[in-house]
Amino acid sequence: MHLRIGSFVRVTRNCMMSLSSAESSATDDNTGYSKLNGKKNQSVTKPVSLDSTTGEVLVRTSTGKTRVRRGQSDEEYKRQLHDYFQVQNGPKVTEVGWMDHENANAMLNADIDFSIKPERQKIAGFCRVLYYRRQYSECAELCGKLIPRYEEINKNNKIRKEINELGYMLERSRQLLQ
Amino acid sequence: MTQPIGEEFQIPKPKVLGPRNDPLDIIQTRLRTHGRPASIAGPMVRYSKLPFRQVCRHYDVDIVYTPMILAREFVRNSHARMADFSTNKGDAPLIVQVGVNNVSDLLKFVEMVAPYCDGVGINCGCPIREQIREGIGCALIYNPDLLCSMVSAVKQKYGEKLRLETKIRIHENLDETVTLCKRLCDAGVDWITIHGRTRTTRSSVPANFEAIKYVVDRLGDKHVPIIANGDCFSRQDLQRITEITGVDGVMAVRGLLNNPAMLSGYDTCPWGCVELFWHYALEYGGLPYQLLQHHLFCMLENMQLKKSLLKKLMTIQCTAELLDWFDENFILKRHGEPGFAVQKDIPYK
Ligand SMILES: Cc1cc2nc3c(=O)[nH]c(=O)nc-3n(C[C@H](O)[C@H](O)[C@H](O)COP(=O)(O)O)c2cc1C
Repeated sequence: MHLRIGSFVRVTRNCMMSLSSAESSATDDNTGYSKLNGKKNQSVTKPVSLDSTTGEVLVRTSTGKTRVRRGQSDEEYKRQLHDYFQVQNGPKVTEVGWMDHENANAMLNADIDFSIKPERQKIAGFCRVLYYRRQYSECAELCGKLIPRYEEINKNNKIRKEINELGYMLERSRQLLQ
Repeated sequence: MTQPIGEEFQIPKPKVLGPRNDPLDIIQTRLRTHGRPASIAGPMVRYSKLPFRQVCRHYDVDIVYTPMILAREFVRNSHARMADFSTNKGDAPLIVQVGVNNVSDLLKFVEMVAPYCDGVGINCGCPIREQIREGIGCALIYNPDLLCSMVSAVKQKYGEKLRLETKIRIHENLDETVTLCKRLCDAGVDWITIHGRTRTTRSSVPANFEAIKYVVDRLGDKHVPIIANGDCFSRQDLQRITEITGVDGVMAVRGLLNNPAMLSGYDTCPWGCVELFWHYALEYGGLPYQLLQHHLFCMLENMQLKKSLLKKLMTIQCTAELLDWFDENFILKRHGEPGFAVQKDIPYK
């Protein structure tokens, strides 16, 4: 609690000190939208660093107001590092043929949370590759299993488009197999 | 050696640079090794995603950029990371471009992407007002103190282990551009890309190569390579721009969007390129549909596909339906089929 109050005071004081420097560094009017000689105001504002260790800066928004872009504490950053390097293992990596090493049925049986969009995208991507590779029976089978799972979580019809695409692939795969 | 974080885990080191992936080395040696200047596919928000990058590499592009990624979001938000950056083993040489307005965010961003790319580029050219207001993009060429402090912070930390580029626009007064470039060289930048337009020049106005030459001529003693950007629409343009400006390489952007094969000498986009794009787009887990559709539209328009067919393409709603439309109208070969990715003209059915 003590800390939070302390840091609040520091930020506020810094802000107040920096507001004036932001204004003086900005060859700008208050709105940022005035027209000079019929041309839109093209001035450039410089962000003002409020705390160089956290990346907290003061900028001017398109409406001409000043805004503080909050910094990121060491703790927060460490959490992100942990999530990125440890949990996610770095950025998303997709090699050609990634799905040859995955078993769609196993994916379905595992606890996929279909309410998470990237999870749905991954498995729908699987269907599309099957369709592209003209593996229509596998494609139809997978789409057929996926559609009811998608329907279960289709609140307010939010993922109707995604379901329609699976439906399209199911229907067409069946036709093409005949 | 990795850097310990508490007792829990270690942060991977930057990717090791060698002759095959060090972008600076490539820029400095392409003329000698390949008899042509270095070719670079520049950043495009939305479009420079993994499948497009791989297609460009297939057709004589040496170095490829990601779209601009905002450092502030990337270092704070895992959803942003998932959405903004995906890669793989073949995705090299790769420059990750960053939109940033302070040293702290930049150092964090570099720490997070350096193990997975071959260099980082700071966007100092984006003219979009919302970004300029944040002090990002083109605002940075009017804020040399901040820009140079960001460059030297990264280079002081990583030295030769990490390549750092800045992509700038020219100023109304070219001597300001010269001064900025000299300062960037002194701050340790590895190379500079100069887009031959000012912040307010429209992209329909020709890029100013004389301006780039003016700057290049005044930086000789710095021995930092310069790349020219703007209006490269063919392999001939690559040579011509290099000759006019005296640069070490050329960055092409819109030209490659319409014809990713142009630097291989194809005047119009070959059909094989379309097949390759489909292959990568799907095999890499799929592009958002609108992006896939836009890329294919740009390529087919470049191939002068009939207007009625182009119009129809834009009404199609999903990837599978688009694939059917291709199969109905053309012969679209799949990877592994004889003749995949080699056809030049549109194979109408
Ligand atoms: C759709 C689109 C997106 C762009 N996104 C970026 C970007 O993310 N970062 C950047 O530095 N420039 C961006 N640019 C500018 C280009 O990189 C390049 O500087 C400009 O298009 C001039 O090159 P060109 O004449 O070869 O197209 C973008 C341009 C286009 C057309």
